[in-house]
Amino acid sequence: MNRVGIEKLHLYLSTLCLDMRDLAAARDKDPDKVVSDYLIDRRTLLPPWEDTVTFGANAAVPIIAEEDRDAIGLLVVGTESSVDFGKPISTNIHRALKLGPNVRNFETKHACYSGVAALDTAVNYVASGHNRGKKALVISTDFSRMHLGLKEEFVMGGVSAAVLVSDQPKLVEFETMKKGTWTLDTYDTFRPSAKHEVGNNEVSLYSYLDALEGAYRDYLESAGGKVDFDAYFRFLVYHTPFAGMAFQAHRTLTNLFSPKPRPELKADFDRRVRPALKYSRQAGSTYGSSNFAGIMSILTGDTPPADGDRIGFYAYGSGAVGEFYSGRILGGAVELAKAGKLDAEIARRRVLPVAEYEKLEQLRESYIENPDFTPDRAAHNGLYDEHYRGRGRLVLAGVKDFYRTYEWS
Amino acid sequence: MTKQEVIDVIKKNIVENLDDIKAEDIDPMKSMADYGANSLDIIEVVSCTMRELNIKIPRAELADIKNIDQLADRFVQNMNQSPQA
Repeated sequence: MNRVGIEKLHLYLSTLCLDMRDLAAARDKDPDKVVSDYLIDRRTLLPPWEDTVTFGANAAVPIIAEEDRDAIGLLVVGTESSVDFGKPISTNIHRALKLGPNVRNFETKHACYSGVAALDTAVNYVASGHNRGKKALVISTDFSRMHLGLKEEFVMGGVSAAVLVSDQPKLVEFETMKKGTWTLDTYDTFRPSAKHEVGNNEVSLYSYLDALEGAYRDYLESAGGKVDFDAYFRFLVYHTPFAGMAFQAHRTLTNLFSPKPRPELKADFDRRVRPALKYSRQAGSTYGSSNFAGIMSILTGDTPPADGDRIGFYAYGSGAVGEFYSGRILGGAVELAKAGKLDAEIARRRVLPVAEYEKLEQLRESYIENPDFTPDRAAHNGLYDEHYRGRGRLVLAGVKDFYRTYEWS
Repeated sequence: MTKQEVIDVIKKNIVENLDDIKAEDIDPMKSMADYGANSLDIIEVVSCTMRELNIKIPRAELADIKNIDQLADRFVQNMNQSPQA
């Protein structure tokens, strides 16, 4: 079996965001409590000329070099927010990124598990040797629907990720034989139409935790021998429908496998889990990109990890499936990750006032299933000129008779 | 174990997981949310209590329970169905 892991990784958090304290104030909630419960500072917003195609492609642009284009043999896009029920957006992204014709492409769907379903396909493609030396590009791209005034409004958002998987990993190498999985048929959160994103929050939180426990126990069996929960994983990247959920996930595994008093639990959370939350705090819900946002957070964080540090990953998709797997950080990963200058890009995002955010969400909803529209590039007072024109980002030019046209800004 | 004893275990776990609350101030006819618990706190109290009572109910089946008294009923029902050794 080939070695396999992440050679390159980049995230994209768009060019617009909403400050959660502003939203809390507008909805008569305590801003401090909203931020401390959900651990979200800002959530991503997409301007009218971005959709899940551009959102995904724009994550990949900074990391795909000319030699990668020829080396990629597989493109898998994970999403639950596709713009078409038949044609996969992997085809739009394939064209936009100018990949070669001998590339297999398709979309994966399983709520927030879609990104790791795509990753696992790529990992198996490379590890098995069926890749014949080629690489796989995994893209995860998801964005929430409109939730104005609803209680879920505080845990919406999105982040896209592009992950180049190969037999020459440079950031994280996966331990492919260690993996635990758990499945249950449930309706916790789901998207029964292109506009609806519905469900029951409590059912979803409970399913998430049932799946975590089930997947982790299955992982322990696959790992063989004894796993000391405190010592085995230097970091834990839990799926983050909102970053605050990571605390509950960690509390659940800790109580099962290494119970400790609350102050010690909090200290352990700060040391092993909080470093993975940097970008989910800026994105809001991270959907299928959760685990990738976690890796990038750890690698670019204030406490640099050491070579060989093990990360335990938990992925969850409503519906539901849970998966626990692991990987190890490779030497030089921190420098490579920081070279992407993601923090500077995020700092440049424009913060929208709540009223403007509400208008934007209503406009974006009017685009769903709309056969003819042209996104207004004059919206948001010069945003296009400032963040797009000449910057080589993919944008939606327009939709005519349902045909979508994209171009580079 | 009586229902009252189950309620006492739930109360103890509420006290351990929430800030600034005493067991004697908790009314079982109220929900944990009435005492400032968010969804995550409630889930933790439920998980800790199930572990202590040595019962296992899929968490997803507990989502519609409205107050502490109903939660105790559900736990007692489970204990009667599968008596612990």
